[in-house]
Amino acid sequence: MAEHFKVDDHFVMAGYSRELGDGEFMTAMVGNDPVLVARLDDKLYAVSGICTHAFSELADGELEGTRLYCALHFACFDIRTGQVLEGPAEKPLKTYEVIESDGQIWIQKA
Amino acid sequence: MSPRPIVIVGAGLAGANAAEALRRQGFEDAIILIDRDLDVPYDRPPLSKEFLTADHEPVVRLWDDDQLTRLSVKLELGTTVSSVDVARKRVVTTDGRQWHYWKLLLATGSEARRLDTIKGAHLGNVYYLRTLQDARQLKRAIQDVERVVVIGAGFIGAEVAASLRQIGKSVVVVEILPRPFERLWGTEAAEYLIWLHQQHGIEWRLGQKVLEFWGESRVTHVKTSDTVIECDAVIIGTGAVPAAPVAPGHFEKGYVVNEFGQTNIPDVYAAGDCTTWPYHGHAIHVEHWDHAKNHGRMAAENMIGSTPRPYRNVPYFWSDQYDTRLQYLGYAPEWDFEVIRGEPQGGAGAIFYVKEGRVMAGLFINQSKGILAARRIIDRQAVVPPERLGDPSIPLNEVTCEK
Ligand SMILES: Cc1cc2nc3c(=O)[nH]c(=O)nc-3n(C[C@H](O)[C@H](O)[C@H](O)COP(=O)(O)OP(=O)(O)OC[C@H]3O[C@@H](n4cnc5c(N)ncnc54)[C@H](O)[C@@H]3O)c2cc1C
Ligand code: FES
Repeated sequence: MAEHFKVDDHFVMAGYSRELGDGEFMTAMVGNDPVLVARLDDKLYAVSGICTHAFSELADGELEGTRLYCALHFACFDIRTGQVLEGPAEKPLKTYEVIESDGQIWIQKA
Repeated sequence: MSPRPIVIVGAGLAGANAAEALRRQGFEDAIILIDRDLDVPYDRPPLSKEFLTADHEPVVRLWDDDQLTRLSVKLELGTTVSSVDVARKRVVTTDGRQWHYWKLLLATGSEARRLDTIKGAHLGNVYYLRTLQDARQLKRAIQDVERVVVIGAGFIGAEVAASLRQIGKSVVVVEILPRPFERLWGTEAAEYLIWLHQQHGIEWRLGQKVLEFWGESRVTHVKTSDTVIECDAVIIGTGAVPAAPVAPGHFEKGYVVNEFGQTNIPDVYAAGDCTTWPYHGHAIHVEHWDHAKNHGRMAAENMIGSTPRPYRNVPYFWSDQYDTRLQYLGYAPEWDFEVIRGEPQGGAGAIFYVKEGRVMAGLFINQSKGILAARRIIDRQAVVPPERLGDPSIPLNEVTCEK
């Protein structure tokens, strides 16, 4: 599917496919907003890189399976949906459309 | 009448999280949340930080109206609990009202340690910082003052000093210890912090004891053991003490609770700042946000759960001073040696505190990356070869040799 997806100027390049192993995440900037892209079981997911609780950078946190933990007060989000799994955060993370094409990873702008 | 009412005394972080946890677990009977403060529940950490530096008043309340409705908690604010009649299972308030409880949670937190016995402590423009009300008063007062003396370089004192510098006040900090932070964090970290504040223009008066406050109606001078300092306001940040006990039972630097959050009185639990609790064989007392939140939740779950779950949480706190973020994990009243990782004194790195080969605690200075891995190491008090722990090229989740 991904190959046929048209990458146009609504997308920003996040990085190269080879840089992102399974179970790992990378950070990219979409405009002024950091975004985390993760690969899980060959699927890509992208969520806002800023914790909705007190705005700590989630790139400092940790991904355990599908669970993304914040390094400041340990809120936990589902990286696939952005949903809060554990407080203190209450609002979900914004999710982004992400595609992989020709060895590159692209994120759709907001 | 609700057959199984749960009464929570104290709507701070522990009390509020307990109430949330009860509803999350499906508890449907009455929850009565009593607090003498009219503004609760709210979050205290911002009060010494952005609350003071922002132009506006940041929102600190924990629940909006929707959440309050959804939680269906009976809030009894402006109500002070005076005692607990454990025989009749009743909470008694100073205005003579009583509430029957099926289970009771004491989450009365801490209060600012006061210097009332010092001459002049009653003068105007002498402030403490514990409640939202305190913070509002302080925020208003500092608009019109130039020179502030902060008494005590604990976390709140240090954060307030930093916030006031950030908004351009001249700040002198009087601290009785020659090197604040040293007992907790060791010499290197203490020196770094003293330096950091100096860099930002704080004037230290270290190793000095406050003797008197001078002034007619408002404070104008602080007299210490060594000097006299002119000022327009004083902020006292000499630490916190547990709120006075309202229930009988074992109380020693807080209600003594077991790993399930139970006091020695049947059906009475306690959580948060107002407790002493078991951690790796020590009875410890922790006055930090993360513990209050998790402890409150655990106690609530154990009140209604069929199989109690023991509390397991690594003590943790963070502190923001200027653009420096400090995070500390664990408990280490003493240690054999420190392991330095990265360049904590250069403004980014970590210091680990090792006793008998085990990693007991860690301080992270602008170094949040890896903190979750560090938390697992400290949770297990793992044995880690110092040369690996101190090698930033090895990720923290790979430094242990143990399984
Ligand atoms: C200014 C400030 C900044 C802080 N910053 C940080 C930080 O950066 N990081 C960190 O980890 N921690 C920080 N803390 C500590 C953290 O806020 C506390 O650990 C936490 O608030 C403890 O929660 P608690 O619910 O146990 O107690 P509290 O928050 O103290 O709540 C207890 C409540 O009980 C009520 N109460 C007490 N006795 C009675 C009674 N008899 N009747 C009725 N009501 C009663 C009180 O009014 C209070 O509302 C800070 C604290 C302050 C004050
Ligand atoms: S900032 Fe992420 S949990 Fe608080």
